[in-house]
Amino acid sequence: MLHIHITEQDFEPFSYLSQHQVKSPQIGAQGIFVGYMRDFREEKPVESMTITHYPPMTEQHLQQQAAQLIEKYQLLNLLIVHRVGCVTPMSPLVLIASSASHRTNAMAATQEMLEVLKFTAPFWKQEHCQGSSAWVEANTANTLSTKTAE
Amino acid sequence: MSIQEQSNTVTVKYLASLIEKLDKSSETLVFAATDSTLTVAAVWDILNPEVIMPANTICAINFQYATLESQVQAGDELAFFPPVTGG
Repeated sequence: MLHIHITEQDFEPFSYLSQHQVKSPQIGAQGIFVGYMRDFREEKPVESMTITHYPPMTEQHLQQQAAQLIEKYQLLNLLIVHRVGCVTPMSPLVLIASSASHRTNAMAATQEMLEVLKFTAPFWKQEHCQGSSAWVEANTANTLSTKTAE
Repeated sequence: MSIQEQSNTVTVKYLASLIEKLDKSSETLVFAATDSTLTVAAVWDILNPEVIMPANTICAINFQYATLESQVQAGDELAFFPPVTGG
């Protein structure tokens, strides 16, 4: 079962998940990703952000990609939520929850769906700070931060 | 616009930063009587003769990714946009 929701409304990811997830005795694992807005990018402050998209293509693209992942990873449920509109730091931006019989498939599908959202789904971010705005020109590659906590 | 003209047009959308760069978000291109198809690149050049397409521009025809060499037909919706940054 596939659930895709693109919303201009703020949402609480775990309440949303609780309300919309499908339960099944075949589900043995659920991979969950929640993305939030940071108040900085490349060490510069960000006060708010506007997320726009290309609605007909976004929906079609996500449907196609999600259907492929459901088949590839034998998912029993896939839930995707993505914010659009004006968002502020700490706002949840993304929720992905992939349910499968086994953990490897659930986690891999969640990771792969996130890459779709970051690199092929037609969403764009425009950041705002102190009266000026700048488009985010590209998402960062999928690498681990090596900066250690101080 | 007459029904005949509509059947000979391509709807062109510009998205995200391209809206600001071009100061427009949508327009239509009426095919010349001699054209049955045009490449994506040709559509850009006809509609934006003064603007060189940014090198990282991405395009889609009828909501599917396409290339600059892809053929556009009457009735299609063609979109130009910068690299996506969702997630």
